Amino acid sequence: MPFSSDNRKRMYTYTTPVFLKMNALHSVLIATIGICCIISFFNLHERPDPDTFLMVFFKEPFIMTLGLYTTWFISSFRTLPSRREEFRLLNSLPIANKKICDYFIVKDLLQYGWAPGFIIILNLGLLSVSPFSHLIRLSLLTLFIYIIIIIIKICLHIFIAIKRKGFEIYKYPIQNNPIIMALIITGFALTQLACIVNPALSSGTFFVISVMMSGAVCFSLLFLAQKLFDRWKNENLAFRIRTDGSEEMLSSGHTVSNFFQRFPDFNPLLIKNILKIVRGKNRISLLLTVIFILCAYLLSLNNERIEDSIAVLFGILCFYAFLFAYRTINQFTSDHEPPELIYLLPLKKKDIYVFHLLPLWGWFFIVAFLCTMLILVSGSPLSSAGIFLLKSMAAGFIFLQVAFNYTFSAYPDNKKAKKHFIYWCFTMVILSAIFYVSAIAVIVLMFIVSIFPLKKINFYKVS
Amino acid sequence: MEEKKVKRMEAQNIELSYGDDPVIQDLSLNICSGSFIGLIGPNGAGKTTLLLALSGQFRPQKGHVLFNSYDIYHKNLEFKKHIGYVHEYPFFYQHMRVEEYLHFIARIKDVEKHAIERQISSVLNSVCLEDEKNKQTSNLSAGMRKKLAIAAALLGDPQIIFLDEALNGIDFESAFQIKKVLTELIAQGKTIILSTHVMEVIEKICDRYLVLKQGRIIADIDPEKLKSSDAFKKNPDIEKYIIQLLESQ
Repeated sequence: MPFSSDNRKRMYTYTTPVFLKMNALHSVLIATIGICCIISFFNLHERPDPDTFLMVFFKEPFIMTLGLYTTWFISSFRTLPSRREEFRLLNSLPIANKKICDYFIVKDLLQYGWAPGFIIILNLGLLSVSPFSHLIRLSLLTLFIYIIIIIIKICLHIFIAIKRKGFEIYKYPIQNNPIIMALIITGFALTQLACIVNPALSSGTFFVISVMMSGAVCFSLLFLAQKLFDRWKNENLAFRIRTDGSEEMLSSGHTVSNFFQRFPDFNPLLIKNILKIVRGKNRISLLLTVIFILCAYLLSLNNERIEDSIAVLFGILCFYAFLFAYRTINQFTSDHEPPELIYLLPLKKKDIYVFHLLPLWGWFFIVAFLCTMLILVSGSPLSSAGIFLLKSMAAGFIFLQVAFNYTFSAYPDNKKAKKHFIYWCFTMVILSAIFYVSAIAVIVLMFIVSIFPLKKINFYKVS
Repeated sequence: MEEKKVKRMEAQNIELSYGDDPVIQDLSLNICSGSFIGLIGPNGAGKTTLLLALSGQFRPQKGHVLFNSYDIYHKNLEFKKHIGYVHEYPFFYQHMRVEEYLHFIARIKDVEKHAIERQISSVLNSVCLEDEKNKQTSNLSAGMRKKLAIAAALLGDPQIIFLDEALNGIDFESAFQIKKVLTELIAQGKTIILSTHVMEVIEKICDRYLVLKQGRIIADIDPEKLKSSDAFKKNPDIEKYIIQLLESQ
């Protein structure tokens, strides 16, 4: 029956006038925030002992917070071309500009909501050294600051889009400007730190004033965002964004032809995949990877013995290998490697496989090498550093190879590849934990299992 | 039929540009009710931009677009309730099913609650999608996505329907059904503006051709009058005629 009670509920969810997805989970969240607000206003005077609080905070929680901000910064670079199409749909419907603006603000708030969520969880982890009501107040302030900075981010993006009217510049709401993101995340981090370092800021009368001011600032910024959005929309700036990066590709045309001319004997697939790393966009990835390595190194230094530092760094590098392998699955999707091209061109299966994998191995080797150099700098013996490099390369090789095997065999269905890769990792971790003594044999066996799907591949016109 | 046609929409000296790049230049146009207008032109002629401007989505830097004598950019929301638009690459929320998406559009367009279900059923039948109503939009083929976009555009009893390459990629049976529905809408006094590269579609169903080149209308053709003209009778091929027209400008 099309209009059963389940369907009606779902329809109501999607067709409420504000078209925000309000469901049971959101109601629970809002109720929780409401209860926290009530709790926080009791015992306003309660605050932790500053010295103990700071001593505990400036250990693992601080390092994790830094890692979180880095991850937030990295994740903000994801391009969202579907937002432009979504804007076009909403623009063609009788929806007020104000509502469309509110909608995109809420979308942004939800998209990065995991960041303040994690920070709140980290804060609550300090329960042993702080009264509960103080932590609740800290968490509330975190939430308010988060909402304020996200609206500021949107205002800045729209403002720049209005002011700088060249084709390459305005990418709102598809892409974030790295400088703006760096500024707002730094602002958020500093205000957070200020609240942590000075507990007086989140207690007593100052807390009440902070909440009221935050509310007033939020509303003012919302009003400003709506006005800017109005102007942005009326100047038709949304229709000037190219989502396929065609200008960047055209502007790097000279570089492309030079590479192919310079290395006429190299396989063109290999050159194409190396160029992906050489192009502007991926220089940011390089910078971010270096920042990640440095953070990982700093985290590992939080151990007295060098062997423990190496072990911690190896663990982080394994985690990076997993993330990197997972991300590479996206590099072989039908968006980046369209089937019509792969199936049309006279490409050998072996070439496609090898020349996509080689640059990825190269990248991981550079990361592992940098980590090894940092270990040597911190006084590790050469043999330990050498073993670290070999183990890291082995871990990277396994994760990358398995991810690519599943990607290649499932092409162009990358959802299936991601699913299989996650199952493989999960199974590998459990089995190697159970059969700890023969963990290496288990890993090798699991690796062989991942090769079997490759046998079934048949690209239409490829030998 | 001529007496029944009233002027529905008017574009007065509109100019549109992307940054410093002019797309539509000093364009004026009258559109009557009950018209099926085909918009033809080479790539980059400004067809999509013109459709966006006439549908209240892309505000002209100069000029006005009037609908029933009011400026559509002054009463933008009101105007959008009376139109349907099919984008060349339609967007759907992937988590929604077909029927849910249509409910969403119907609610946005303020369709009366008691009429929603009837209208959804009717538009799904029109585009031959009734069997897919419980399917997730992310699982639809490209042709079905186009059909769904057309169905959504038909909701809310629109007075003007804008179709941007809307019939591309649709199977011939469904295309026939859709053309039948569009023809019925014309008989009810609605107006349809179709932008397409497919001459065959335009020849069969449009009663007015607007030929666009470099942002200007270079020809406003009444096919009946054209077919009865002596010049055309010597070489009765509309496609060739239009190509010659484009080349001569």
